[in-house]
Amino acid sequence: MEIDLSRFRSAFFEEAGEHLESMEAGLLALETSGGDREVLNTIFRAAHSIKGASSTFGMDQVARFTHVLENLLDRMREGEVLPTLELCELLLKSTDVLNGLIQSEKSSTPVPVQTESVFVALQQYSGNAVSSPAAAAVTATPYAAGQTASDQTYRLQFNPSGAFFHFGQNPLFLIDELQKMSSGFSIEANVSKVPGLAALDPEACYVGWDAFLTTASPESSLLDVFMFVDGDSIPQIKAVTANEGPPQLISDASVSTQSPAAAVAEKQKSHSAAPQQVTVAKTAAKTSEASVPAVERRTGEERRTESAPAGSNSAASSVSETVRVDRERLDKMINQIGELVIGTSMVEQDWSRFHPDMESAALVQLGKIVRDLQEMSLSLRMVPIAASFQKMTRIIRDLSHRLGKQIHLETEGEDTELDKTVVDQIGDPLLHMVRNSVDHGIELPAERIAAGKPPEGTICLKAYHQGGNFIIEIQDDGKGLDRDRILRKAIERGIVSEHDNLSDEEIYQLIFSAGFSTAEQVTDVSGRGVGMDVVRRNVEALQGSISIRSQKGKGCRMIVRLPLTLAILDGLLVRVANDSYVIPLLSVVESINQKGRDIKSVLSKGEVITLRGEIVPLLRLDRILNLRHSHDATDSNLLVIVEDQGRKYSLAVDELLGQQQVVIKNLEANFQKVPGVAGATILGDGRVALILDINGISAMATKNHPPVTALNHASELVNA
Amino acid sequence: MAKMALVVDDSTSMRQMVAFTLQSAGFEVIEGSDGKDALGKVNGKAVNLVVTDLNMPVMDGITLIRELRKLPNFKFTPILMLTTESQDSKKQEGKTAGATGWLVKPFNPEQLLGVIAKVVH
Repeated sequence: MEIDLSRFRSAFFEEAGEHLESMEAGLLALETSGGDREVLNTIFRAAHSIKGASSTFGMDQVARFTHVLENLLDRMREGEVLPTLELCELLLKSTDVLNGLIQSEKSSTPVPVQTESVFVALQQYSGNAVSSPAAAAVTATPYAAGQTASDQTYRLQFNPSGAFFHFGQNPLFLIDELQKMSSGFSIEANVSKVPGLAALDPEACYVGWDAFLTTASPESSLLDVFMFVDGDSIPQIKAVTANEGPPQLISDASVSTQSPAAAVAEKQKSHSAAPQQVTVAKTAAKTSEASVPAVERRTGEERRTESAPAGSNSAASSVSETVRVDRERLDKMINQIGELVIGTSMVEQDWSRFHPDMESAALVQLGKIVRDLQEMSLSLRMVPIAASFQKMTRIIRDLSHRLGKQIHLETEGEDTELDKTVVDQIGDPLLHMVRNSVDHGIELPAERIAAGKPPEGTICLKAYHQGGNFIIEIQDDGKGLDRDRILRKAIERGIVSEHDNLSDEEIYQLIFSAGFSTAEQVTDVSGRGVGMDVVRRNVEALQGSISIRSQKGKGCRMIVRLPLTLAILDGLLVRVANDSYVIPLLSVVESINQKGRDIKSVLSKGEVITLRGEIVPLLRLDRILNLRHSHDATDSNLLVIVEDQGRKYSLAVDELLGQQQVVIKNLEANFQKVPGVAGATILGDGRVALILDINGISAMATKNHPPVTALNHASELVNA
Repeated sequence: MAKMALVVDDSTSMRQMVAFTLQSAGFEVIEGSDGKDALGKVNGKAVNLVVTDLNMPVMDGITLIRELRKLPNFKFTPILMLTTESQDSKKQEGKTAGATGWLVKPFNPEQLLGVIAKVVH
């Protein structure tokens, strides 16, 4: 049968990635905790698993590398090699190499350059006594040599132990196999040990067999038949000459192997019927040696008595039961369920229109089920943030070594769950922020001591849910942001002007401006001046926001606020002119009645209102969106105060329609990217509403954007 | 009735490969990701063959074999363990626990079927 192994490769790559992650986590733990046996077991198991699968799927480079790695880890597990810092370093490096090797299998990229050097180093640590898989492959077929082509007759005495059946063995299968490889075969059952019925244990094996067989196969292949048989059950095999041979050999090998009793009966029949056919043995030289066969004759790995962690509940590596599903299919299903939710609300609205005074119990029930279903479907995409945090452990370790800093990482809430899409996209921004903390936040040990702090700095990564949002905090106890220097730099770079009256938060936010870098020297770690602006862009692309709290000399805390999922959004539904729009609730601060408030026009800069002493720009959505009002625009009294990147804006709307959870439909995928619009959604009554992108709207307003044609098109689509 | 097999391995790719091979040989396959999971999945039901990896989290293969042999339905069931060439002592341990035979990784589907032919007809 031809089975194409390549179909299992993608599963392999996925699990190998997970194994690499758990190896890395284990190694990092090892570095701090020393040789914890359970940790070593976890690391070993990961390497072992990669080796087994990679060799099976023909990834020889990966198999060869993991083989030495596994050997070394095994010796560490046995306490023969101790986990020094240097060794941990090497092992971490080897996970990188291994990752590179796996990637090269996956996408034919070149293998990592340091593969050989790390391989050799691993070999040296594990004491050279390493057989390569190639050598192992040879030992796996040790019987290939010394094969004789000519027939030879053997006498085989097979007396399985009483417990034979309890090992799932069936002696008849073995006899069958022997018979198939023989040109002449004669067998007799030895039933002398079968006790009387009263003493008979029906589960025990009492019967033995005495067989003479003629075969061209070497003796070793006879033993191969019994490869799973051990102890007392191993048959005695002897090459025999004509004189020692059986009285008759049956050439048609018609011995029945149905049951011992039948075999005996067959034997009695064949005794008289079979023709004489004895083949003379050419050589019987090795009989004495071979009569005590050792099935377990395998090459010299040292024997280890191993106290396996039998049934140990290792929390560190518990594999939760999972089904892997293609993401596209999952997304399609979640999308369809979104449609179902919309469809249900349409039915509900129709019902209430036709039966305004009657509630349908069935509809209520349906609505509940559908919403539960939606919640459930969204939870399918939720994964813990742990893996992203774990990567930081390694980054911080490597960076702090390189920069000569001492940094301790604390994590909290790793099990907090978040949409997989968000998790995948938050990795880079998180990395940049952590690097920034390591590089610019935490001081050198000497500086810290001088400032009266412990030499070891702490970076704390926290994840938690708050009000339907996912929050990640990156907190360090370093020197904090230098407000004045940031401001000075920003003015120098022309990002802000001297006359701008900025709050602390607004000043801190400047570090996210493009081309901003306050480091005295550009380091290769985080000082390239790109990075932090990318961080903000990425977080905003996820509908998230970052705020900064900093105290000079005490440390800095960056708070990343993300939606739990990108599939649905909590929104404030508003009416502007004749259309409905959704404002992401995340950005909404409050809504106020503007009546009696002064709207002031600032020369050439638009309008502002004063809100509790704060000057807030007024954005007239109807003008920005170029909508035709059926009545005079200035009639609108309602203002929605929104916040974007620490800046407040007030949006003039005509009506607040309510707060609603909406299913986001990507506009970019279905139409094109439209400034000021984050997406669209279908409302309960079947109408389309655009979801506003506050950042884009404010940019359009402040830059005095001319009305954008694409937006007009989109609005027209909606109105059509 | 189709022959049933229980395939236990924490590595998804290996498990899929073994399961697929068995399916193409006419087995119906129950999959388990570790010993404990497998015990839960068979829940005392009888199968014609068990193929299990040894090194697994939560409950390793040796313990699984020992546990299976305690079940009335698994007294005589052929149990094959998947080992690597560096696991000689494990193999012995597995045999003591009640394993029927083993298969050394790496192996290909043909080798797997060859070994299975030794224990299931």
